[in-house]
Amino acid sequence: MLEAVAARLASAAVVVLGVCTLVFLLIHLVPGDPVEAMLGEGARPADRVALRAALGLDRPLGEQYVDYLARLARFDLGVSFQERRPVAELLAERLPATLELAIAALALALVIAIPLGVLAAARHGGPLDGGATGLALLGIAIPNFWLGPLLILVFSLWLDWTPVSGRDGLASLILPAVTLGTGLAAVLTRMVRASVLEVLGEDYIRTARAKGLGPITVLWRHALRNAWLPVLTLIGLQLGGLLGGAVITETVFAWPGVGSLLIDAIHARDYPVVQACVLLISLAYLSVNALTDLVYTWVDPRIRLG
Amino acid sequence: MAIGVIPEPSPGWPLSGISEPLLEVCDLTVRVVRPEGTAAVVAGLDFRIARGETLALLGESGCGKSMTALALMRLLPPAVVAVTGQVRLAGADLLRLPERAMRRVRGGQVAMIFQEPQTALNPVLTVGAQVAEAVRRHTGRHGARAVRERVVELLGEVGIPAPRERLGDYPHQLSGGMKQRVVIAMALAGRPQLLIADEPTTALDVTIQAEILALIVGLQRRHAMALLLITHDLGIVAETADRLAVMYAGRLVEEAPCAAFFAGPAHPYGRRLLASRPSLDRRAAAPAGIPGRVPPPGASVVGCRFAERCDLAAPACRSAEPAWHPVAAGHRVRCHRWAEADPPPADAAARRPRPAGETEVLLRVDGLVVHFPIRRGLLGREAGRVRAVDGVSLTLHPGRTLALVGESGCGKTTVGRALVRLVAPTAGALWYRGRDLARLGGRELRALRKDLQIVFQDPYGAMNPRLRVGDIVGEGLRTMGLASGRAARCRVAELLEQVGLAAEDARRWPHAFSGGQRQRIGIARALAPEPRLIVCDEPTSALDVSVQAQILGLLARLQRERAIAYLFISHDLSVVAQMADEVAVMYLGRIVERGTVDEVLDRPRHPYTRALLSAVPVVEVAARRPAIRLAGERPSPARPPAGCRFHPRCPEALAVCGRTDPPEVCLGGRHWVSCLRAG
Ligand SMILES: Nc1ncnc2c1ncn2[C@@H]1O[C@H](COP(=O)(O)OP(=O)(O)OP(=O)(O)O)[C@@H](O)[C@H]1O
Ligand code: SF4
Ligand code: SF4
Ligand SMILES: [Mg+2]
Repeated sequence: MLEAVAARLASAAVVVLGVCTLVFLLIHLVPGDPVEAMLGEGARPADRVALRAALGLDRPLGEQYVDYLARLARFDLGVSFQERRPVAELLAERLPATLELAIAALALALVIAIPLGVLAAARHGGPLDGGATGLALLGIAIPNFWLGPLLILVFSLWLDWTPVSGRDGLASLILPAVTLGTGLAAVLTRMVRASVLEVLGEDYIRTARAKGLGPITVLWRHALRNAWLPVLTLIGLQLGGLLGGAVITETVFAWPGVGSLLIDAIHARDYPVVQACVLLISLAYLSVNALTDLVYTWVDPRIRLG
Repeated sequence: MAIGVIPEPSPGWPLSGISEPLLEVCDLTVRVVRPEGTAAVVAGLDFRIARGETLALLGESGCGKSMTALALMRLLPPAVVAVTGQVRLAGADLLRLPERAMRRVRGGQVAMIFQEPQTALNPVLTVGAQVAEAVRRHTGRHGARAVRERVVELLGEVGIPAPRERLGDYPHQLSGGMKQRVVIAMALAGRPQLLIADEPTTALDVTIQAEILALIVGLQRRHAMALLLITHDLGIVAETADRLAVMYAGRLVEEAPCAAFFAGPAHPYGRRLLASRPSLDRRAAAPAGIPGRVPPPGASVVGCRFAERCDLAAPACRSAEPAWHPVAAGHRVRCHRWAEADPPPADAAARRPRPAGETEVLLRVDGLVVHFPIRRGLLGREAGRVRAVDGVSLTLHPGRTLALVGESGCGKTTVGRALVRLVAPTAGALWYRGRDLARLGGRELRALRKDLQIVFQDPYGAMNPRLRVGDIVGEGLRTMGLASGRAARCRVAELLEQVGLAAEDARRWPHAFSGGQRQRIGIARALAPEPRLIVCDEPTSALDVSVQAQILGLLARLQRERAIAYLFISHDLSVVAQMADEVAVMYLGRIVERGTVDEVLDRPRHPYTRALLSAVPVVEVAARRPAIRLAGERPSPARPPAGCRFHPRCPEALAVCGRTDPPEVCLGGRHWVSCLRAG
């Protein structure tokens, strides 16, 4: 068990280093001269030289890399050109909004997906199953850039129940969370259903029924405990994505999170901010995944007890 | 929805001995959905079981035994569309009971043990919790302590050592035999009147199988339970059952007291089944087998379902399905012509002439060692070694069969794979034609490889399902550059005919063939490059007895014709007795005893060989050996015990056995044994 945990953490560390390196190279990988891209055509040569020096781009690559890592270790993410403020500060401002949205969306998705998926599997082939499967398909098919505006149209403009955009109290959270949570709920419903169905076909379920246990006990004690394991992995993957990937939803609702910060920074060619956002999103993804694996290790006795 | 003939009361039925049956099954029919419509996989079954009695339900794979058991418990899979008939348990019709009442019956009056202990237990619940569930459900005990005490008692009763310490164990921490004991404990929790055991030992090793069977029979006697024992093994029937019912393609075809059946089966299927069974003592008498195969379920058979394979079949058999005919008290049969004598077998089961004396050596295995590293952690650090094969020496002769016997995990398959160089030996030599195969590589090895072929255990898993049979058989010819184009096609056609298939089969896909036919394809593939040695790795363990007999007969004929040497790997001593000239018994990576088949099977000297032999279920009462029980479980080959590897389980162990590794000593002739008490 301890060995497995150590191995998992070690592999996560290796990937983190890889991500940092890629983000570092980002600025060198964009086609053309980054300085030119940032300053535009008509910049004065003196400004260019100054910016190049400020970014450290005039030094050898290796030296830049070491310097970059050293700064990262101090949580120094550079300074935003646009805002003239430390990037770390900007991120710290935006992160709570993103977390709030991600957690709300995930909670919503779980509340819908788990009962629906379990019921669909338990009533396999019945009308409930058909309904749940259809809904799930629909939920996966609807893109967020379409669902978001639709919800705004109905609930904000027609009914005037919720604010159109921005982050101002609980009411403003509802529509973004629904937009983001729908797709997730759909994916999770299908996964929960498939996982429970598969487990219900296992031999030990037959053994449990042969003991004379009732359907609810069989489902609750025997099926769900096993069905959880694959679902858990999926939730981890999705949450990792949510933490950074709410870009579209955040933009649609002008939600002041990391996603919209990233979009703004890309528009403004604010490279340090872009780098920091990409780094944060990747790290969020990685750490949630590592955490999921560790939880999995702990939940499954076959791994826990070797 | 009655199907076929409803049994009419006839003399000898109801059985004289049975006054009040516990279970009475009438006209039980189970229909399942199939692509081509619904099919009755169990058709009009009727039988009874008295209190305390053991009825064996015997039949080959797919004949509907498990479906019958599941129908009795009302645990059928969703594909089942209809169950009709009656299942009366102490008067109540289980098929018509409300589900809630049925749940009290399941695990209460009727309990079930399943075939696959590996998957029968829930992997995320402790065994204590799983047994406790059954206790709580059926005994009305609820206090945590009272339930726990009962669980400990039950686990103790099924022979789990130190049961109190095992309560918190998860299933994966127990061996297969231990898991099956837990399943049995669960079944006992509700003090059932009827125990249904569906192939309870098929997935276990021979020595474990014997113990579990003894346990089930002991518990049945102690608790005066009735037992419905489902099996395909006639030996198990003979050793445990009072009566048996033979099932064929969804139908019962014969029902008889065991003694009467083994003295003279009435149905031609029963007769051929008995004749197909290899026996420890009918050595080298090639069992006949049954030609053809079982009609697929749902095939619309008019008349007798066995007619295609029956050598007594008459025109009347194909027009009317036979009804029950009484044979004697309690013995009845569904056959029009049961009273006729068998025609003399076409090729009289000739004793295979055994080549006597010394012959030239084809392949000599000298101190073969194969270790597999156990890798752990991120960098794949070697954390230990599985000593799969740890110093094995063998000699193979042209035209002779050396059988390698042992229980699962002892290293048999690894020896076979090392011989054809599918795994690289860690140490030791494989002398073939003056060259050491273990040290050859590249082109030299490829040139010799055509001489050494292998037939695998699982015929289907060993074939690429996307290749046609012709390509599977001809693959070796082409890649080894032995033939191509037209010549290769002719050779493939010839090979298919030699193994009893048709030349046209070359164009078909492997999934269209039955298990036995697939094994024939596997044999044709091995024969293609005209090898001198074929390693047969459990070639029949996935097959039914009647088909197994066909394949064994084929292998024997090919050997006679071409003087091929076989390394015949098997865990089944009865098969070995029939096929082998010499036998080597393997335990935990070592050969513990070897010699001619008569030396090893008639005068076993190693305690392990003796235990293996005593565990084989046999039909002939006179041939039964007193049971030798082995203590404990097979140790892991990663940590073999010091001294004699068998000493922790050996009933004859001396103090010195834990310290000294016994050397191989010759007992005369070709008989060698590694035991400190021998010689
Ligand atoms: N879930 C299922 N759906 C449809 N058909 C099935 C299902 N399970 C079994 N069958 C079919 O029912 C028939 C009887 O199967 P059953 O499992 O009872 O055979 P069996 O005698 O127990 O064989 P074995 O010795 O291999 O266990 C077979 O033809 C099988 O293919
Ligand atoms: S009824 Fe006819 S075909 Fe069927 S088993 Fe008897 S003799 Fe053979
Ligand atoms: S050497 Fe000892 S422990 Fe080993 S088999 Fe012989 S008697 Fe048993
Ligand atoms: Mg079965």
